[in-house]
Amino acid sequence: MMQKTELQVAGRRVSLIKAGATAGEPVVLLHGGRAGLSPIASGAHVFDRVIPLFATGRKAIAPDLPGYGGSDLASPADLDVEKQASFVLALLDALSIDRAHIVGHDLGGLVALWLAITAAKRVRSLSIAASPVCPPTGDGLNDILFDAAPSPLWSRQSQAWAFERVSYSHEHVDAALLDACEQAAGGKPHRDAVDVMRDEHVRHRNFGIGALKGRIWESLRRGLTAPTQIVWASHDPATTREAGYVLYKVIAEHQGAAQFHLINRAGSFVFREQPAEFTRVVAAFQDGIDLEAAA
Amino acid sequence: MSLATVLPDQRQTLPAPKHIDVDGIDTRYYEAGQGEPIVFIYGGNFGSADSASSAPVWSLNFLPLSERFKVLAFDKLGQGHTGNPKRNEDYTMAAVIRHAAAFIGELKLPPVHLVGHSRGGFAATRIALEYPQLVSSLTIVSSGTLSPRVSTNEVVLSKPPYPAYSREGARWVYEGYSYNPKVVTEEWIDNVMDVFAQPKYRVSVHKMVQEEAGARYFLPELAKQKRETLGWLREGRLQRPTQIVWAQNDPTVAVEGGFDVFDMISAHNRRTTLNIINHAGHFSYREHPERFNALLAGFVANASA
Repeated sequence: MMQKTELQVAGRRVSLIKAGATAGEPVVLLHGGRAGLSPIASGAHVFDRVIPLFATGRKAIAPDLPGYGGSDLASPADLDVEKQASFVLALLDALSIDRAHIVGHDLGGLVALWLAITAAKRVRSLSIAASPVCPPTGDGLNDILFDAAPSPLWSRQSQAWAFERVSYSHEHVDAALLDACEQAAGGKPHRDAVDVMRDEHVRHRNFGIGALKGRIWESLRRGLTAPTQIVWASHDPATTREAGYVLYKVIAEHQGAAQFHLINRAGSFVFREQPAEFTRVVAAFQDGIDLEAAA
Repeated sequence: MSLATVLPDQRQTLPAPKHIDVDGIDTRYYEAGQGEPIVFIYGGNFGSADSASSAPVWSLNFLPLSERFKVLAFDKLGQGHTGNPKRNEDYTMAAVIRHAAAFIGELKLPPVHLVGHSRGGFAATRIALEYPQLVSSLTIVSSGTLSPRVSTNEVVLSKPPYPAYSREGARWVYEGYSYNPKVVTEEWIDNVMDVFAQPKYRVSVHKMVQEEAGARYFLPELAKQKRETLGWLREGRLQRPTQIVWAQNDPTVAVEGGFDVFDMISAHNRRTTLNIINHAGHFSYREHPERFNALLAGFVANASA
């Protein structure tokens, strides 16, 4: 059973979903989104289809990152990827989790990658799923995916539109998802994030992504400690499969235990559109890494 | 999803092989475990004096997976310890596929999960196309034969600098296939030497090379079958859950070929994934057995759920 709980981490309210009570190293799922900017009010709820599947093999934990869902945003700087990774580390401490298998989607993939770079001992394995922000971009095209988001922003209809924009099929955009997204949009963390994004300087920080990427490539040139898999979707309007494959090759250059996966008939929310395929590919990697360590 | 039961220390000697008559061909196979049936089809073809696959090439996968599934690995027509084709014109891939399908039929099992490697990946795909009632899912591992790209086996592995049928020659070939040559164990080469030692195997090499069955029958027929098979895949005739497992460092099969196979199949078949394993050569299932086994176990469990 999925269970939603709240706890205090560094004096701030944190909301998370957890399931499964199996012993062993848990899987921590980090959601994506762009707090206050994206037309989707993201949070742990986007993982509702896969948490029960992961929980059959190991404990699964999906937190709302600060500024999303039910997790407080203390300051605009907390939205930076770097700070979000520090938050995940503090959460692991608070939950007495020594080491975990980390899965990150979209911007959560970058949080997960930075965590694997800066807190290698805490990351048993890394799975980066459909994360357009992780691969090298070069002189990319400007992002027009959400250019014409319908008003009012963060209404049920506007969020449903945004999910469709990044999906292979609209089938996964169900009532449970939209209920949870509406609730997230009405919460204080989301409203605070929208408020701080009114400030042009905060907007231009862009979650600290630009400043971080150079440091990430510098680290990846030396190699990543965690076994890493890149899980991409066949029909992701937000990225190309070449981008995912290039990211995998950069990591595979120095990390022998690297894998690349392509899942069919899915867009950015690959774990919602093909939950069984996504979970089996990720769980197999995590189980395989555990088995290799035991061998 | 946990595969805690599939422990690597379960690797031991294979059970005693069994024999079954398949259309008059004495066919050797291994069987273990209970549950959803998985049938492994290895690569290569009859008639090589430098290398010889046989069912024990799956030794690192067979026993760990037998903890959860019924696993079967058999010797293909003319290979390993199975009898040779009876007629010269049966030195073909078509005859190998007919024999493999007949073997699966003889076992009277529910539809099986096929795992085919290299030339065996082609054979497994053909069985899924021609005999779909026998097949519940398909795993294609590093099959240059199925890929529309150029395979570079001949560049890497032609003319070993050792005598025919020699231990050193076989080792040179399998090391050449591998990312990490250390994975080519003595046990692996022992099994190759067992195949070389059989008079019937030398007959098949004589047929293929000296009597030119390779050039007259095998290769032209395979070329025709390959054209037909690629057409069938593009038409959407493959209608079973399919996972494609490719290796990053295979000196004989291009990574891009895995994407091509994915594109042909996934266009028509929802449950299709491509999985690329780093630091792996042609035999990914021997170079990274734990991760390969976990991937296969999850796939089979999902495909049969």
